Amino acid sequence: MNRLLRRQLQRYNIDVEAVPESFKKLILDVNNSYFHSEKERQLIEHTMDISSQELAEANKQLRLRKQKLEQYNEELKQFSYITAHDLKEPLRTIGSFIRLVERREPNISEESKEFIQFAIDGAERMKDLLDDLLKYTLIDAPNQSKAELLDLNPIIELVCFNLNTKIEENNVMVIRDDLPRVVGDKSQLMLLFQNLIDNSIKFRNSDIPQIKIESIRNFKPGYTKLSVIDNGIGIESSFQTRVFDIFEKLHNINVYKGTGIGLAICKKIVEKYSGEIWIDQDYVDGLKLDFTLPITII
Amino acid sequence: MKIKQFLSFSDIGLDQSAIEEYREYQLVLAFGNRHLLEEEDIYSKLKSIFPQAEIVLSSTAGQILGPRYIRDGIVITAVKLEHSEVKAVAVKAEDYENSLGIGKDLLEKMPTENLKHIFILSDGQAINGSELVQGLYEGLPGNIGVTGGLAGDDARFEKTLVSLNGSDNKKLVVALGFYGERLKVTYGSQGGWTAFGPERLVTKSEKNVLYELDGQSALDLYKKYLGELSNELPGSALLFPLCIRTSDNNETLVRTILSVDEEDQSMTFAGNVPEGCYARLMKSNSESLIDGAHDAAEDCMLYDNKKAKPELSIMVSCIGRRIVLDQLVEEEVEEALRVLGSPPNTGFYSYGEICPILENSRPELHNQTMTITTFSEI
Repeated sequence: MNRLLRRQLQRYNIDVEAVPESFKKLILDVNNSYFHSEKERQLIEHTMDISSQELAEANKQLRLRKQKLEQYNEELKQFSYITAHDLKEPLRTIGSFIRLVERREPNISEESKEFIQFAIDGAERMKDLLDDLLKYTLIDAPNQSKAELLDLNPIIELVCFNLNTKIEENNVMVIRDDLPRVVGDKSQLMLLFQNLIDNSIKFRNSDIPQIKIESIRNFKPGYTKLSVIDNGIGIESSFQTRVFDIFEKLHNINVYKGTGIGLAICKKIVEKYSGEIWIDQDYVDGLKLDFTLPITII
Repeated sequence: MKIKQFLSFSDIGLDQSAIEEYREYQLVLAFGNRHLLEEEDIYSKLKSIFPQAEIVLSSTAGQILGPRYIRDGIVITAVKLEHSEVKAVAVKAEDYENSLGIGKDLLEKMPTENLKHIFILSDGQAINGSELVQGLYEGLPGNIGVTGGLAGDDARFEKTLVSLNGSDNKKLVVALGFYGERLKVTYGSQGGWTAFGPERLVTKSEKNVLYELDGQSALDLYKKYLGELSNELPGSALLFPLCIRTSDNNETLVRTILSVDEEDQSMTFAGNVPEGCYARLMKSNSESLIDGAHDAAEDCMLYDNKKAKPELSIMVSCIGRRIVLDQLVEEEVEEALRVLGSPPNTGFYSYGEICPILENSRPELHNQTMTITTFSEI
């Protein structure tokens, strides 16, 4: 007899042998049910044990993977930085000695002079690439940036000041809304706007190039939307996502100078703060580039 | 509708008028343990009492007679339809490499005029249940319900038996076509199992044979969960059926184990377990199963917004439920029967049940359910 049932019967002083036949049958049935329930409970407990074990094991595996990934990430970041940094030195050497050859041999042929210029240009381009690559790798580097709530207006002023020569030379008009405050690192936000404004100047299509900077506050909860709109050559719709890829250049180097990393840098900066960046495909009078930035520090 | 049920032939009664009447009965269902069906010459005895009837024999994993679970013995249910007809057709399961063709061939043999419902009694081993219902569905004239079950072989999983009218071949798929305007058929199918634990990706399988989940041996996973009960495989694996979901829709199906192969570390299920779908283990307890049986009966009772009044019910319940319920197995039968209004009742414990999920929708192969079909003539 099941222990639980026996205790209950004892509590009420019921003698199983002395009860009527139908009652005996009931007690037997109840007894079976108790045993059955016990068996079911044991199975459930065992199931719980195994389930918990599986969960613990899965957790452990996940933690190990996370550790490995973090380690790998750090290594990768270091590698990118060192590569970009260390490659500049041999480049400087190449450039210096080519110029030295040019100075020491004033009587070389015109053709050779041209060759030397091509070599120097190549070295310059490579230096620009490495510089931009370095900037790109530094965006995510730990301890290289500080997130704070910043007023965008003085930042734009500063960027225009740095680009003053280009702006004056090309008769560019930069108009901006009263821009809101956003969260970001000051140098990185400067770099972001500098790249965008520089691009708009470079890819201009008019005698009076115009760049407008607008904003929509609270575009979505916690985020403000900013737009840089120009009347330049724009970007064809089929390329509008690829342009954010690193090293992606849509034009021949002889037509438009550039490393192809500028927009990739912009994307990395925006995404570092969980924003998004995209090109407005409905805008046809030039380029309208939209991006979101947070208004609170998480 | 007249129903006559009995357990042994001495039971049947020698009342002369009754014997005259038996000559007009059109359908006899005999559900029993395979060994008993193989030994005695049941068919001849039945034929002599019910000469006009379609006589179907099916082996089971346990029989049902009224509210009782019958472990040993053959449950005989003879039916006389007063305003309707029944016609039986069959094909040999082993003739088909792919069970898809079975449904098509069965339907071709069956006249469709006035067809109301099809009840399937199928071999439980040599066919692929998923393919069988797929084939039936493809050839089915609209609005005909299909219910039924796969024969069982106790918890042995060795060999099942289905025969029609004394056929030599004992591995048939039998389709009973029910005809008549005045015939009303209702059905219901419910489980009572809940899935637990993580979803695991089926990484290696072939139709209804499962090898690996998440790249690991599925058999080893089961042995972990069964613990000591691993010694009672494959029967004990019935405690943890598999709930599978394909990634494109969120519909889930339950799959029962049929056999285990230690050599190639595989588990064979009663329906397909395709690679790329997600599987979770399921568990249940007696109360949930009894509730499930109750719900299946409730589903049968709603008919055209009226309360149905079944004159006969056939319960096909899954062997997995019998294993969990153990000595309480009659409670699910009793509960369902109570809801149905206690009509004459028969049925068996099967290796798979066939029923549409919703009224008038496609038939599905179910596992681990209590599937009830009721008949009445209005």
